[in-house]
Amino acid sequence: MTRRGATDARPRGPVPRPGLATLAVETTGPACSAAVIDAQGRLVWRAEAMARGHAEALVPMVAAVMAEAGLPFDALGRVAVTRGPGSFTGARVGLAAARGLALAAGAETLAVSTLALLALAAADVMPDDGRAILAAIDARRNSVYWQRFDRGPQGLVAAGPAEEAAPGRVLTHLTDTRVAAHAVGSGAAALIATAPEHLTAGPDVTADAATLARLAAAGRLADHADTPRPLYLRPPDAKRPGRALLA
Amino acid sequence: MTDTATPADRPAAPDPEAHTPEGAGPVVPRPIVLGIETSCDETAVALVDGARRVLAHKLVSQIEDHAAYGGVVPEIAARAHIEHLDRLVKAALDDVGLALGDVDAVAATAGPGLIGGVMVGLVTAKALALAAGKPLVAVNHLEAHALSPRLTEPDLDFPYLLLLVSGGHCQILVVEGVGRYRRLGSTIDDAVGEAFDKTAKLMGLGYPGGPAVERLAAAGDPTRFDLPRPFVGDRSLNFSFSGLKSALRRQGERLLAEQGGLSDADKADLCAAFQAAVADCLADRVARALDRGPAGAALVVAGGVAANQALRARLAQVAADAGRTFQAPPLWLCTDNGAMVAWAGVERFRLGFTDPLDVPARPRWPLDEAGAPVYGSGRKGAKA
Repeated sequence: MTRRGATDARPRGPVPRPGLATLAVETTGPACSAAVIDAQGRLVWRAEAMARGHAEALVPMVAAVMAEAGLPFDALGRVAVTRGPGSFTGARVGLAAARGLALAAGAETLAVSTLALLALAAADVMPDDGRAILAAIDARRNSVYWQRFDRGPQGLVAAGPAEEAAPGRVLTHLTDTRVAAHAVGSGAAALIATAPEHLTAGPDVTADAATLARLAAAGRLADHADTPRPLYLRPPDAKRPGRALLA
Repeated sequence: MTDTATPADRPAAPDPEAHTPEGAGPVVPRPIVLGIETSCDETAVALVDGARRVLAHKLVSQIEDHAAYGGVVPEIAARAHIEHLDRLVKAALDDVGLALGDVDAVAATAGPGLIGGVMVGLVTAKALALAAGKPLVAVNHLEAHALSPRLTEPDLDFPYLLLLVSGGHCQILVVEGVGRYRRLGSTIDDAVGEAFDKTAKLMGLGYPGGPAVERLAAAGDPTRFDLPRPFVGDRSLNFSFSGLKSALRRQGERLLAEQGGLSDADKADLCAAFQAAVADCLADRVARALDRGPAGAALVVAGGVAANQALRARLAQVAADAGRTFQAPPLWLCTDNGAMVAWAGVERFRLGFTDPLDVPARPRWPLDEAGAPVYGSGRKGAKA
């Protein structure tokens, strides 16, 4: 079932390119979402839970939010997109759409890791209590994709690179650094169970296009934007062949 | 990865001024179609117009990315496609001074093929089509191969008999028109290009194996080893190559046991024997199909294996013996490329075949969807 909405989400910060709209797409997790914010701050969004089918659903969803917002594509100043980690295919679908839309519309792409989006979304709704924010996404195979973000006067800062790890490895990191953090994302529960002394459950945030569009339009992704390439954190499954039988 | 230069034997790109949009010139050869191909290990983009001119042609081959694995690794292929595709689209347009707004349609391979790569190309095409306000044409990769000879041969009319041979496919079809295919026969196991690749892998000849086997075969004695000719003389028009491959392995293992190793000459002779057996199989099946297909129809061979000169010559002979015309696309059009997708887009767009933005990417997509499946086609992949 598609959820949809339209609200006034006038950005609190300066708009990076005034007069232009911001489109956002998100397909790295178990949902597909698209959202657009026009120059007046009006947000239109659609979201649908799905394990697969992003390649079919996403572009019509973009068409729907643009039509409802009454925006032509040349009104877009930027296309924001999550680059993973998460579903490899999902990350490619979102990035292929974002890069294609940006190319055709003459807009710029604004790509951000799904972990950074989760952390930014959490920081947005939670006062700074001195604790870090630990974003974690369930990576299956008893591991998580995770990254720690610290809060400071300049806002949210990544404390280290994103990585894939077993929960025990995250516990070691927290023990070694003596950091207390709020955990958010689909991998949070597993980490909290492993490291209850260091972690508390943060706000229930999800990486979705509406949040992404809102943060992008407010200029709050700038410090976390990266090249519009997938962030996999895991090498492709491929085995090198042994010696040829008749070589 | 390797960016290849423009193929030398394709039609020269015309003066971009002649393509000023909105009919500035006296004759604008509409439609102009952007074609995208990402179904295997080539990221390819082309612009083709209604006058059969390839205005721009861009291709990044992933051969080096897959070579260490001895074959195409789907996840590695998908990762490479997303890296290059939008850059190639921009470069193709910039080459001829066109904007996306100047094209009439955006065409992309929607299957069959490696699904992760197909999705990258198809979603990119959907995004371009939506934002530029252009229709989308979802192209069947097999149809792109099937129609590719008409890009370079304006006189090639329907119907024609098509032998479609590639790393993923081996079938004989009657091409009755755009979107109208009747399959006469297909492989019941391996695709012919796959058999070439496996033969190369067996002997450690590197990847891609087809050209390597062809090179060695040219220096070998095709009569030294006796290999089977599966289905030769059979009333069906089907193919089988897995037994041939096993027979080749047994011959090689026998040599290995006797001599302790294989010399270069041994390998060349094995390759020559293998290629001769494949040629006999293809020739027998195609000769039979020419008898059964539409009277007087031309024989066309397309797909990556059509780049093999020995097989091409043999099939030309089969056509000549049957008093038929023989057509094979130029080599650059046999292997996967964007021009054939753009051309299939031109042909389909002219007939009003466009697709909605939710059209699915399909790992399997037979050309003759209404036809009964060939037995054995339940194997993984889209080989038949």
